[in-house]
Amino acid sequence: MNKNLLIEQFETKMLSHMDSAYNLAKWITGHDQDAEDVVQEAYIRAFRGFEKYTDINSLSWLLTIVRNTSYNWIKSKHDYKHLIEFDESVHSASDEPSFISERSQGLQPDKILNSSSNKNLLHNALKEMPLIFREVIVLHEIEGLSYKEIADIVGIPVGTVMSRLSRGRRRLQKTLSSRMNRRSHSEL
Amino acid sequence: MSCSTVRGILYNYISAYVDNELSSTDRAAVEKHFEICPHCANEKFELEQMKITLHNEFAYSSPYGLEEDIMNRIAESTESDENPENERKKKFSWRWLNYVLPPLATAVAGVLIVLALLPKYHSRIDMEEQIVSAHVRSLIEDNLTHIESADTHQVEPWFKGKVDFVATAKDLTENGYILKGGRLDYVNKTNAASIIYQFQEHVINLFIFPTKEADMATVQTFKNRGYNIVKWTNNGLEYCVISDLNLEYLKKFAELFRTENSISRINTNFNPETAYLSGNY
Repeated sequence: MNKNLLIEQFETKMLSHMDSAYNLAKWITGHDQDAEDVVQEAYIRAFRGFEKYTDINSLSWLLTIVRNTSYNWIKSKHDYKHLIEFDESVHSASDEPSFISERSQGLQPDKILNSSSNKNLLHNALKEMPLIFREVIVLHEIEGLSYKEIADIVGIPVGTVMSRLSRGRRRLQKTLSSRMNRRSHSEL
Repeated sequence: MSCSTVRGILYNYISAYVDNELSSTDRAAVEKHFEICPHCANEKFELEQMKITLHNEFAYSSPYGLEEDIMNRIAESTESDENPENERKKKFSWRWLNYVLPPLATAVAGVLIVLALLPKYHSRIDMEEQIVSAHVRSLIEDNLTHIESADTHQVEPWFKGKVDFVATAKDLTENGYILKGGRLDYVNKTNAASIIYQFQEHVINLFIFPTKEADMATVQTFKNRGYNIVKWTNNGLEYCVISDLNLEYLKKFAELFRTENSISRINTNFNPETAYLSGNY
């Protein structure tokens, strides 16, 4: 295919996903500059494969590349193994539903997220989450991808997407509640 | 359904419920549960709140200028792709072949040469065998041409000093036989010039080497291991054309080559300079 035509098609089809790509890279790497570098790298890799993959779901495809590039990026920069791998035995107990006990401490759910400081708490809670939960929440809640699309991008079964999302949310709620409680205690 | 006993599983369902990822049956069952269980109904409400906040507030936008940086880098990468220096780098992944093929080819060539030199291979039949082997070898080695050129005036002088006769290359492009170049080979216990042509996808090797046989008025044809061979002698030189091309086209090539006006003759007092000058260069 003609190079200029190829570049033109690439621009039309792929550049509209730039925000999604950046958002995912930023949530995975946690840094602005890293995210920019990852997105650049991912787009260049996407361009190399673009001719072959013109018929597929371009957003899922791009995000798969962004995700892989991000993982390689953090692996090459640090030993982030402990963030990437997730030890079931360590975490599963804390993922037990906690809403009943937390609720009894007097949090009103409809008020939780209304103030900007609480939004910050939620933001930080998500930021500090283990990567395997964080990425599915980002892909689903922020990017609005379906379970099936996430399953393809992350390379896990749909059922695992469902349970990871569910557990991720539980952890988010739990972290949020405990931090809000801590804050309200310190305010007293 | 009691949520205190199956809470872990139910939570997954509530989560999938707010994501609108449940089948209609499951969806109905969960809705029924919400009616009788305020805890779970409240849980659903909380998840929905969080969902809205996450979706509306937490998306990062790509910084200004990133798009331009990316397209610039892509444009650069396509330009550098066209640069032969980088083309080589890009194909680096195939370069392992370069390390594997030469020893292999050398081994094959070595074996073939040893076979070629065995006394029992000196008969006429063995001559054919040698031609076929040399042809196959040239295809295996990926070393078809030592000089690659479609210009007879580059191919012919290249043989100067390498063979003790004037090797002739002819331009038969208009007939579909494209000159690819020349290669130094070894057949019949002597250095042979090979002129390489291509007809469509078929490689043609034309071997030229000295012979004591008399000139032939017509060509002879042979078939060996599926290859067609057309040979003739002229002026103390033997011409052997070999290819997987069909015989008709190969004979046509031979006729064109024979009749195309050109001189080639043996240079008995071999001298690179005079060999060069006595050609049709």
